[in-house]
Amino acid sequence: MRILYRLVPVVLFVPLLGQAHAFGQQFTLPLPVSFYFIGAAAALIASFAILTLFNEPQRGGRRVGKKVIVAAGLSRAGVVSLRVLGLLWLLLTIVSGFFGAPDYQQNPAVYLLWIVFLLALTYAQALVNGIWQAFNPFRTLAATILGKNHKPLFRYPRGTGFFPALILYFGLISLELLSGGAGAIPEVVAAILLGYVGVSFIGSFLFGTAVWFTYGDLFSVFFGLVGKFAPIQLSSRESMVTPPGERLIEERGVHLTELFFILFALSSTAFDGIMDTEPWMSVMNSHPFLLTHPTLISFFVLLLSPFLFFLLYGLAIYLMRLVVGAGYSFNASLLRFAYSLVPIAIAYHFAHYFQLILTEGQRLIPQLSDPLGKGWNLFGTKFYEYKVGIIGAASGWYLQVGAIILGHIVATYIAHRIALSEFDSKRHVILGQIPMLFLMVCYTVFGLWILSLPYAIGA
Amino acid sequence: MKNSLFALLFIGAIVLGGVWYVAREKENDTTGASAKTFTLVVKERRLVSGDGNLQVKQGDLVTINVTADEEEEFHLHGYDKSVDLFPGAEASLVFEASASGRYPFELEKSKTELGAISIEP
Repeated sequence: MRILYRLVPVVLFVPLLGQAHAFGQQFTLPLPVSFYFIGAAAALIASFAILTLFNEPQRGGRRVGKKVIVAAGLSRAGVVSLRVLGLLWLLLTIVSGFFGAPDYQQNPAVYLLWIVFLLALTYAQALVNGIWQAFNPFRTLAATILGKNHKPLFRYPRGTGFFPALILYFGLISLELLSGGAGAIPEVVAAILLGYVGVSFIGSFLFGTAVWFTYGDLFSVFFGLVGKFAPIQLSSRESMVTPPGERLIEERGVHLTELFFILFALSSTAFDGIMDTEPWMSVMNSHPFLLTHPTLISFFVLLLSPFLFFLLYGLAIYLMRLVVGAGYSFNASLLRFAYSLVPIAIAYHFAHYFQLILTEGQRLIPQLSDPLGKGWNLFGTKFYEYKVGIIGAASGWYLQVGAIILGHIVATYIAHRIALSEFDSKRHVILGQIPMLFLMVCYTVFGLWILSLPYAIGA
Repeated sequence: MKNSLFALLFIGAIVLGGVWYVAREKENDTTGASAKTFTLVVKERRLVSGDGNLQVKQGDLVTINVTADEEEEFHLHGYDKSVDLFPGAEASLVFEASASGRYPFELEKSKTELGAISIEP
């Protein structure tokens, strides 16, 4: 019953008092103005450099470099080990969440979800695509229970696209940012994961495992997109090493909901960055209605945020089509360039969250020695002392600016390569890319600007 | 096409090198450590005297004197340092600001966020 009682606030988005600002606290300093300006200038220079360096159209889009086949495939043993690891992760998170210490700092569940699963796994997948596809414990469970001969009850309505995954993604981010800290309660984390096992099973039961884990499972969509960027591509058929982002050039978005999934990855990270800053707080303090309904306002801003990013992206695509008069529809153009935003989304994510692995991630060292709060010391690390400042503020700034600029360069380069493969004349490529370039610079400068905002005092 | 890849890496290296070069000056800017003392007074879980936004330089010896009107625990995040508070009595938290960053402090029992100390590199 206690669990049910605690879950109620999550459902209703009513903040639990006193939990805010505890888990996931960042110790970074705002980016100094000098970093911000240099970063912005660098983005601009790099963009024009790319535009002038590569402008020979290549119909069909040839690949840069050569794909190197490193192995016949990810070996069966590797897949099985990752699967077992995935199941162990799920089991440990749920069991420690339900039966471990109620205080999240003494319980690994919260850290296993947000730090290990959602941060570490994201960056691992951005380097090596294929980890998630094997790790995915929800799929392993659904596929095992249903067996190979399960006939789906319904045909998935293809027009729906990635809508279920998008809704679930919005739910996850709401839990992270709007639940007033419910996402940092071990029991809630365990209950949600258990619920998600159920959702995955029902989705697979109704539409088939392959379909559910393509369109419905938010993690498969998220890690799938991140994995398209990865320089190392593992699959059961062939494994390859490519320059990062090659798949983002060759492949194209298949549904508008996929574009919005990418835009939401961008906008929700940006929103998280803005939420704790002084400008946001002063806006929220400017009107009594805003002041008394912070969660409601945040909810709607979060909901609208991908549309704001979309306005800019749509405008860039529209202007590009004005110049080059593409041979296919506006929708098709939106989808053709959608994947070029993935590196920016990864860069935003990395700049905002990476340092949490080094700070909050440390908490796992003592927790894992005593996951159930029974006084065990399984690995002899129970008395590990937390180290402050593993990464200094200045190093943090380099990492943030470095990641955002690098993401910008790769994204601009990818958009440009897509243009080279789609347009016939040099003039079209150059003119058509100017709106796109402007868009990327906007996203990048906006990302840097958020990192430079002063934090609000207290809450 | 291999050349273009190298050109891309080259641009990336130059841009990042530039950012690093300018940022580097910041890190070397240590004007010598000093002792810094702040005094905070808390009434009804609000800061009534003292700044909630403390600024020091890395290496400074920081003393935060806190007085509250109830039994509490003053806690500095990150450094994970605490001092017990008793009504009306001033307590001091002393530490060397060895790690740069921004570290919030709060009243631990009531989870009241009071402010943060920014330690500039």
